[in-house]
Amino acid sequence: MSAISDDLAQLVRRRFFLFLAMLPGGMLVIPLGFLVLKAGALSTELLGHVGRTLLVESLINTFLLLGGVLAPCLAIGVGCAWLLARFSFPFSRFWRWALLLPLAMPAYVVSFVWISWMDYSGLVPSFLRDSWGMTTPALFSGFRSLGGLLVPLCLSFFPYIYLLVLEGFESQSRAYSEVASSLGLGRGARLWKLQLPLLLPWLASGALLVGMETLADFGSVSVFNVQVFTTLVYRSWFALQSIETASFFAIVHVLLVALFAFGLSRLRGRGRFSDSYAGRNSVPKKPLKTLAALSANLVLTFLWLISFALPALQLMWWTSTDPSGLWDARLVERILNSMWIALAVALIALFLSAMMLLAKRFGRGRSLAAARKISQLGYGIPGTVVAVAWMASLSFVLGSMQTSTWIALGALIAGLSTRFMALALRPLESASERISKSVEESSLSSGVSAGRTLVRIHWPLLRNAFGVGFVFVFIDTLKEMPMTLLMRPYGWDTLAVRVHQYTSDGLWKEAAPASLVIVAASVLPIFLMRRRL
Amino acid sequence: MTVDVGNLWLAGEAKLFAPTKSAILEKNIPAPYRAPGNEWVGLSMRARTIFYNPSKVKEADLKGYADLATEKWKKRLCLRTSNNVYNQSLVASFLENLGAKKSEEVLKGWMANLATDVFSSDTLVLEAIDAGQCDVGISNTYYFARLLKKNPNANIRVFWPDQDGRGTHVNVMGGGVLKSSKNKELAQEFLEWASGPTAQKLFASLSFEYPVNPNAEVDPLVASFGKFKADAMPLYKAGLHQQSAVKLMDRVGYK
Repeated sequence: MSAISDDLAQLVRRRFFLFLAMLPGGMLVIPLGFLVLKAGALSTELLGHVGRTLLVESLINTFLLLGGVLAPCLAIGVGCAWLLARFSFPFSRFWRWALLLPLAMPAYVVSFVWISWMDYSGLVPSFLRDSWGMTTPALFSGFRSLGGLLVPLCLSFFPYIYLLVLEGFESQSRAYSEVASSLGLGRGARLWKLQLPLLLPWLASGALLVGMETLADFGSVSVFNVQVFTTLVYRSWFALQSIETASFFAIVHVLLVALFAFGLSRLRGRGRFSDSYAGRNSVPKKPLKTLAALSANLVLTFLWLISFALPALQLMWWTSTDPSGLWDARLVERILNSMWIALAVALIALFLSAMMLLAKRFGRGRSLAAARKISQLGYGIPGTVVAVAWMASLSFVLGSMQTSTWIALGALIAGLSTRFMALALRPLESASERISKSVEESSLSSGVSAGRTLVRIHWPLLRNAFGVGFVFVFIDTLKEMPMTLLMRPYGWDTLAVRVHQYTSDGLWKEAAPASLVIVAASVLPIFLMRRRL
Repeated sequence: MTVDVGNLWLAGEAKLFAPTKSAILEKNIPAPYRAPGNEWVGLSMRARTIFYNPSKVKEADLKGYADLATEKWKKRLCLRTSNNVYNQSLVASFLENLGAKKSEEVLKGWMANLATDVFSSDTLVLEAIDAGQCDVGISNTYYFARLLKKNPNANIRVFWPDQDGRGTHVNVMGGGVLKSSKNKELAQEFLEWASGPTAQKLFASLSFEYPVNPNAEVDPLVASFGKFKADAMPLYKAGLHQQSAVKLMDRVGYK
């Protein structure tokens, strides 16, 4: 082959991988572009109206919610991770994965269960009034408020921080601790002065995830009727009947998320350092004495009960008192819809991530790195915003928002895949970093074909990561509500949409069977993966 | 098919419906419950009325929607969120019947009288009345019927507001023939069948609503709420004021 055609082949190959890498980012950025175009046709009269009435409250509530969820979530997540990373006690192996089970509970489900317990006419205050003759404490009459909302949101999101910080603690080398204690630092001082600062990158990643989840939440704020940015976008579109106004505030919402992510990345950057000891010789676990072990178990049991076990039991109780909801033929239809959409989105997200990985391995250049970064932003863009962006694009291209079932489903799957792709890419990237280039090259140079190398070397090493990525995307798609609610074709329901329809009518009991299916379908993969966690 | 005249009107504005000419529909469905050109027709009716806790309120103290804005209801009223289209249509009917200024006064009075933050659903409003958290509230009739089916002893009574005035606000679930329909004739035939007395009775009793066809029988549980005078305002007019209603609710801080 001549040198020219060699160069050409390389150029074509580079272009091809660049295209692959830009595909997911493009699917994210192009709809956002249409969003800007749509917002350009904004009515200043409506903008002024929202600015005078809802905007300030939405902004204040969004910030209060962010801070109010992050602070206790960090405390609980770090506390649990510290306990399980540094100490050994009976049942600690069980708690390691059991504390992830709240991730199987959609926040909007935890929210309506908590309202059914704590609101004025709920379980606890009714019991106090009827059995003990108490007047209702103010705590309960004010439960449906921003303050009350912090409880279910925090209980749903703390495992993200717990999981990442646990990884952080366990990658810390014992060398540091030994040096510190030889310098006379006690256990508490070592935690504050040494271990926590070293944890900064993991803390920031965890806070980023929780913050993004909080900023994107639509279901829980609707149940609690708290006005935040997601509901502002929704109200602009449906109540004020203006997709242009909705587009404008969707853009503002993206900017808010970007500001938050940027702030955290500076924090994470400050804590970045290279650690040649990382992962080696991790700090040995100290066995807890009887009383301490008992207290640790009590605290973890309490947390686990209120965040997972009791809400799950409540759903089972409601379902068992009226099991007719389970035999409903439409429930089967909704389960099938939810399952195939989650399956499709998980597979597409994995495919896109694998392409991104290939592009990273074989392509080079700044545009590739930029494309990779953009594709990761999807997770930070709230579902309501993605939905408005896609509907704005469709209405621009097709001239109306009336689309066929398949176009609507296609747009929904594309939107969900771009939003959740980062969840699949992360484990794949960390796993692929562990495959050294020399292994690959020695396989190729000893005459093994590229295809065979992929099957024999890469696949066994990446299989696990594919599994983890699949589970994360599958669970998140199953739980996803606002994007599906806004983009689904007429009459096409999923479990999550049905739960929303019931809860927006205050019908907790009727919402229980569909909620229970979502929880069960999400618990199973967490259980199967427990040894890898 | 969809619920609430607000949604039907929006679909009409978006020119989704094909024009429909049908003597049967005109005969079966009273004019206030149809679009002026019959693009959409109401198929079942619900009243958005006042409910009260009889241990705390005497029926004689209740008058109408506007009366709930007066001082005597301070910290006693419960409402559902203004995100809900039923409330948007109710306020739109105020704008048509009372005018902008008076409507704003009523809503401001309501906000001043709230017993607690607005609820996310009618069911929760009714449960709060039953539990004694609030004395009066506004809800659609079928939510009350559903609650009674579950809890026949609920401490809640129906009150029909403004019986010596315009009457109680009603709304419809309805439908129309879509322009994009592949079988417009069959769709129209379905609507005609659905407006007949047999289908009307079935329809209304399954959802605990009122038939729109005056010749159809009302479900016994719903009939037990008593007869009432409905506001005769043509419903499409609520659609005209929908956006203004939302803006008004935003301005008075009705969340």
